[in-house]
Amino acid sequence: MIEKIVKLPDYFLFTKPHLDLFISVLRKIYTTKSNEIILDFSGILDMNESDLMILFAQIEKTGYDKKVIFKKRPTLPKARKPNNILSNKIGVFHNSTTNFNSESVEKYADINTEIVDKIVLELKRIGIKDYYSAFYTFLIELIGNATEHGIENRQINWWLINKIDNKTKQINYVFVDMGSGIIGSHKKVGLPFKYYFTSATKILTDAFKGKLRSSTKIDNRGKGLPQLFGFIKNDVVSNFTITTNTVTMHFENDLLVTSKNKNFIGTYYSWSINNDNYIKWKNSKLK
Amino acid sequence: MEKFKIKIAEEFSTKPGGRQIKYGPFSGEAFYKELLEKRFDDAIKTNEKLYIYLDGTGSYGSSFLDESFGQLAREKGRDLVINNIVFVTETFDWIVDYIKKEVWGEK
Repeated sequence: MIEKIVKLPDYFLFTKPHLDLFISVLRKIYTTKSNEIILDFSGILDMNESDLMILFAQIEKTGYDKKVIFKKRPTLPKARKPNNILSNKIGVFHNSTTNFNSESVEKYADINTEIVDKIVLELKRIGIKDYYSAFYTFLIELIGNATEHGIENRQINWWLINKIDNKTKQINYVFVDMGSGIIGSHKKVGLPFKYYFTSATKILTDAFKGKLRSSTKIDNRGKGLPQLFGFIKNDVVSNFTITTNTVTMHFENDLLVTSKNKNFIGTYYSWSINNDNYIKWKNSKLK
Repeated sequence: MEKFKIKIAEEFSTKPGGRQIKYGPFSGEAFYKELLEKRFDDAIKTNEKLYIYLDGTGSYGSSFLDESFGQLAREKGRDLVINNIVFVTETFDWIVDYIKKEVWGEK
């Protein structure tokens, strides 16, 4: 059996300036013709739990496409943080019907409203005692979008990890689905003619602003991303970033700020919530 | 006297889900098929309005709302639905605004 060793980079981080290298590793895992892959973690100097989750998601996607992932007992890195992450259990919420086994992963079916409710209730741990209903809607939109568009015909679903920062009383979230990506989904079903020569960045920003019809091509669809955008603009969540296909976008000073990256086939979202978000929502006209 | 009403949290779920039944439990499609369409038809037959109680749930997503209240308007006629559904809520005024503006296209 031919095996391929994939060495993970020193800085295995899904953020710039390391993002392109991270995506290259994912592509290497996905495109290799070998039926055994050995992941070499030994040189990692920095990574987060969420980066490991994205790696798991890629491994699952690769396995779904009939390739075999062979995991030898990993050589753990010497650096303390990645060593701890790889050694310990992490809290990952995962919605999947596949049989990817890991102690650190929980698996549920499709749009699991019990899990959405559980994630919202966890906000009590940072002092948000009332039920943050806008966040429930935010999560339903995100998961619904992933399930309906990204991964509809595949047995791969969404992954979410959250981590409390006790110093700032904030919860940081990373959510990923390994579907085609938002731009990829639109291209797959055919964009309106005026978008034929339009950049990927413009396609994504128009999807968020509600200017682009849904990739389902049904007239009443395509409202999920604009609703998410409304929540982002109104500070229901903070530090929102999305990476999908060749575009990374975040919201800063009332503007969508975009940058280019290597093609990430899937959709990655990160955001954070603290008590200020809830207070703003409670006092807002939207509520 | 409200002759026809639906208390979503009591009769359907406290945790509404996404658009279609195939994507998970408590979807907008399930709500439409199990409760909303029939209750609306019953109300209309007797010239009554249908009262929808929204409170007591986690919240609602746009897909759920479109596949239930949007579908009702597409099937029964937008004006008939707008004139005969009454939302009752203390916590979800923003959801009512969303249904009226984005789902039903009211100005």
